[in-house]
Amino acid sequence: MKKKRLFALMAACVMLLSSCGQAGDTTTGSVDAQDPAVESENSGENSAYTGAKDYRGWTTSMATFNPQMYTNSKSMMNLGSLVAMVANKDGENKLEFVPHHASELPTTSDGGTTWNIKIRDGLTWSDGTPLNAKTYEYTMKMLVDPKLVNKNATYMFDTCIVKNAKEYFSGQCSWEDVGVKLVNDNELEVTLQYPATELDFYTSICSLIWPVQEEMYEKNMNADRTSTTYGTTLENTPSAGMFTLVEWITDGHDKFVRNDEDPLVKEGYIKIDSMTRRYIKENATRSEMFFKGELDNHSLLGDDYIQYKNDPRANKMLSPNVWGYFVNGKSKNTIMQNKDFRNALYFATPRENIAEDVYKLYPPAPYIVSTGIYVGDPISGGQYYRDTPQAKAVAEKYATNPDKAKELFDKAYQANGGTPVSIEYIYFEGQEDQKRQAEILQETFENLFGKDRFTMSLRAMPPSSAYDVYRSGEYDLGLGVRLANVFNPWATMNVWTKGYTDKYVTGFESDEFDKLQFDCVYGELVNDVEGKVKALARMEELLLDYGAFVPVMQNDNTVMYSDRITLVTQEYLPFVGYAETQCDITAP
Amino acid sequence: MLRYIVKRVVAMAITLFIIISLSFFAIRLIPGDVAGENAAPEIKAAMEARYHLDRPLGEQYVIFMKNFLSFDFGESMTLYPRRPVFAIIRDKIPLTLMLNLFSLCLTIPIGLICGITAALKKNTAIDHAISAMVVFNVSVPAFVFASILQYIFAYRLGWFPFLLNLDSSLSFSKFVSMILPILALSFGGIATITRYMRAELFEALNSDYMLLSKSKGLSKVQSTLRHALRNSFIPLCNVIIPMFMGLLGGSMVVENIFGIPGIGSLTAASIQTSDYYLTIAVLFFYSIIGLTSMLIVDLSYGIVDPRIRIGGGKVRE
Amino acid sequence: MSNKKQQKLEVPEPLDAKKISMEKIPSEMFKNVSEEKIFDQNIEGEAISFFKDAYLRFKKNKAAIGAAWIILIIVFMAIFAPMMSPYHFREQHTNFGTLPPRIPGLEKIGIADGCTTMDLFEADLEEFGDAVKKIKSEYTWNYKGKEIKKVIAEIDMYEYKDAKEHYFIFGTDNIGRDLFVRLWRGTRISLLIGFVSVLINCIIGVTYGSVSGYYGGKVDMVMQRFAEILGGIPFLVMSILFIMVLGAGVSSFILVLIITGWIGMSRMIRAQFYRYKDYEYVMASRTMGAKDRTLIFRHILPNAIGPIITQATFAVPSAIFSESFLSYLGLGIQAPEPSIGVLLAEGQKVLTTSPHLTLFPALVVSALMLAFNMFGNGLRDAFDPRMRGL
Repeated sequence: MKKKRLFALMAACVMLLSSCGQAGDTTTGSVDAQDPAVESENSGENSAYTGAKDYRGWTTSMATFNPQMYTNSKSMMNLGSLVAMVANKDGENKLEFVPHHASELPTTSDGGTTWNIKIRDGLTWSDGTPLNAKTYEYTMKMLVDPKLVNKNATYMFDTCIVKNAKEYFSGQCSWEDVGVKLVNDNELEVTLQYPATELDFYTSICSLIWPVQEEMYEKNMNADRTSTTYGTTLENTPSAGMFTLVEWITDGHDKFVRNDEDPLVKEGYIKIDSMTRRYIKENATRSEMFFKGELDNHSLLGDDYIQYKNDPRANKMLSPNVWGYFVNGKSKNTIMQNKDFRNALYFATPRENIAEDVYKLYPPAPYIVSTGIYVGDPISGGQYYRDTPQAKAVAEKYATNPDKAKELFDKAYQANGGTPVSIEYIYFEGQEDQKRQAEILQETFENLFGKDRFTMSLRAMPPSSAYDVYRSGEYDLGLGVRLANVFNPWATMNVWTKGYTDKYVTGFESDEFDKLQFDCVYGELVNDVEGKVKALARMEELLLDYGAFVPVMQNDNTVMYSDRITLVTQEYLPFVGYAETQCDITAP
Repeated sequence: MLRYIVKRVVAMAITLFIIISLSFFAIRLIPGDVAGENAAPEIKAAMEARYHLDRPLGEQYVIFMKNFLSFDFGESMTLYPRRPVFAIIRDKIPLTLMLNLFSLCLTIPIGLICGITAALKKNTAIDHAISAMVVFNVSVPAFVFASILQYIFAYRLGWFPFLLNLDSSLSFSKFVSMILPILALSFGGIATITRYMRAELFEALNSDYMLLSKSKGLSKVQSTLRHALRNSFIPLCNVIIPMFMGLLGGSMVVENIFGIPGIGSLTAASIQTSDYYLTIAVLFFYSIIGLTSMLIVDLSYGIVDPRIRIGGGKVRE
Repeated sequence: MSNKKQQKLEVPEPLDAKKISMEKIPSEMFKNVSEEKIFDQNIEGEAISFFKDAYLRFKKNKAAIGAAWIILIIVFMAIFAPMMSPYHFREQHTNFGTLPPRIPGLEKIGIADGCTTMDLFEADLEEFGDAVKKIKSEYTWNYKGKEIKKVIAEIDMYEYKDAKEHYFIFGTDNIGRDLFVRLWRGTRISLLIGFVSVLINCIIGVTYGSVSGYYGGKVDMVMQRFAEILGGIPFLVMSILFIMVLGAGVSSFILVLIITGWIGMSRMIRAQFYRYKDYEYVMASRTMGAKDRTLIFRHILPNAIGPIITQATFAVPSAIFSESFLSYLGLGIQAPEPSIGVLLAEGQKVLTTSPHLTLFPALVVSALMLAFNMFGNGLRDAFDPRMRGL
């Protein structure tokens, strides 16, 4: 009798669970099926929709609104910068630079070293205090303040190096020596250490430095001036951009409303009234909410991708970054010091499998510079670097090639004394896809090289720990990425130069590489696009030849925008993407 | 009584001190990077100097302890750069505590009712149904259950919103949005309480004093209410407080899934991003709650059960 | 009562040790007072030992027997299923990613036939070719004034992915590994973590609790303070910290479960000692010169065997649960090794798109929980001295 009951219990559990399971199979159908009915009522070109236009976005976190501490440039929607990079509002699928807080695009009188920035009259913060050239001078001073140690201080000495900014930051000179001079209340003069192109100046100093409100900044400063809580709560986060921050709960949600006083809003660049973002960590939740019509955008992940890749709502992005493995040629593990072995790892990496089977939507990348990198002037016309013949030649030469990998491995194996080798691979914990990737890599390598001769162990770590290990050089092979600048990939190549003090240890050192890098960013090649493309290809080749980095894939996401959204651009534009903030909402 | 409490509080302080010291050293054993990914070398060096990470460990410990004892918990290093740790915890506690308390309000009555019903109707269909529920509850991990709840009730049926409504005022829609997270939180607790209540009450019902009370002429209801129930409540104190701690842990999962900006998600995130001060503060918070609730349990024995006098050995009868 | 009598029967043994306590009296001085013969009847039939009695009562509990069988079957599968399967738990078929379950026989009646229902654009149907088993319904979807034809179709994933000759009875994960093998392999790891940690907890807890409870006084106080401090550490936070420091291996999971896991056991044992150490039979034995060790292990501890086994039984599933919670936080066992927790955490991420990845691990966990709980209940009843002879 009791036995029967037991099985009845079991059966009940099974049925409960499986009914949930079966429901899962038909996930996405029914909701979409109901959509047409709703749609048809408002179908047709009803751009005359005049109801509330609230864009419902999401993000995974927003740690601080202090623009000197935050790292994601596109999240500072409550702040404007000197120059804004926007998509052309007439739907020409083109980028343009428009002066935002500046009254006109900054100009240079001496070929790119001294820049004159004029600030508009009558700009104000959301609390009514004026915003002028003084604000920007104060901002820049605080940004590189040696005691505050702001994370974004590098904006002052990265692509464009403001004269003496680095020295001031490390406490070696006074603010008077720094190349930022206040001419009058509406004019600022910035002096660089090396001449820069307009493009570089506009995309770095002019668009990455967001102003801070002095009064508030000072008010929230601690006694010994080492820290300010500016931008950590709604109350101490003033706005001065196209949007005003009106609600913010940390890790909860935030809300921006359009600021009608903003010059660009007046010019009609912004069509939505407000933007609400929820902080949602689980992808499954975001997906369900999007298909239920509660979110206006959603990044597709693997399994969704099969069903939605041809959906008209899906838009492909281009990432400037290439993910791959850092290879430690200086590892204590002797096999890692062997160049043939490192190259064998490169050629054996199953990037096609990883891209197609694990990520499904990311393209494999047998190259270090992504297809999202744009060379030349994006306004007057340039091209994507990977479309140039030089770049194509590199990609071809370094295509995945298991046979070659096997050959190289045999050579390295012999050179290593013919004893079985084993290496360790580090990846980021808590991320299923990366675990899958690690498992594929392990299986492929071990099967290709032979399990009796080669073994690879896996180790999961949080990203911050992993990067720390790469710096210390206590690793063999480790997943990671070096972020690249869309318009100036040469600048971000500095991480591979000899002088870069905070390198991930790979053992790669090349005078030729260092010279090319310097010439392209600060030296004689600055204005020579053709020369720079050639140099970039050569730099890529040097890195691949040494085997300092095994590129695997580009994280090109596919973003779905709900059908009530009309985007301002049909094509992906470098830097701004599909310009979400400029979209229009044409249905409730 | 007072002396006993003082003694316990002192012991608590020592415990806290040990926990904090241990975690201070433990977290530094994890390779970590306070400057964040892809930070420039200048920034990294300056950050390390800022947080004294360039000094010897012993010195760091002294500095840290000095600050900590003067209630300066430091600032968050990586997760919420520059925000005082105290402010972060203070902002996040209310929501987590509120949800957990609401969940307890649901868990305890339902658990008790189910447990009592099951014990009174032992080996009937009702008992078996309740047992089935208990087994289902304890055998499905909270994160799976929360996802299923969200999928069925928010996505398929659309009865409840996906995420918690974050309006500051307590409106009806906020209440509705709290139902799913509370259900998900209560899930395991109901089973625990039901199971204990059923076992304890069943034992009480079969004890000699029940026979006596029956022979005195008390009705079944009277004897159950006056004697059996009261006695079976005693061990429950022992269950409810650890369960509350469990809930706090479970809220890590629920907060992730229902978009709740509470303290649960801080735990793993702060450790993973090497946010030293925040990690220690979170640990401190959980420890305080844990230790205080243990103290409450011990004190409550005296209230619930007059046979136990506070001050002597706890277990000696 | 019978229980107590039996324990008293064991007492005479230390009488042989009379030299120690009564050394000064020569044995010749002793003389039997009574020369009477005892005419009691011999006891017929076997004496039923404690364990035998427990076993007899346990046997009557059908639910507990059923539970024991389930545990046995799961343990058997965990050990042998990975060996019997044609696939290895690490074997990948990257082109067979996330295939639903397909079971020979059952597929004929439409259950577990390897089909999934998808909502597709009509234009995409071609890509699936013969894999389209059935078109369930068609509808048009109006996107910004354009009418787009969509279909809800049943797709044979095995046909689509060219895996017709395979039968993955529990389906595959997204790099085409057989879930059946991985699940049993994972069960093995989870059970290993559960059993080993509980065993060690028992050993530590019993020793600690015995010493603390038996000696009492200062020793007890110091030991209790120590246990209290450890018990005050929040388990979750500490375990996350530990796993991060030690790395996610089987041994670190076991260690994490041990740090505070033994405290409950030691408390229970201590309470038992406080209850029994003042009993007459213990006092008698002590008077007759029994050593501490004998008293602890021979006379007092056996009383606690029932509760120990019962508590240990309940601890195994909770260890497995803790492991799966840590897996959800991304601190699961190191890949490519699976555990039930890891599989569940992986499944939860894709719960709506590939429910089979959650369903089967959840079923095994449910079965384990159910079985261990019923088994534990059965044991508790069986060892309960008040139920003796009932």
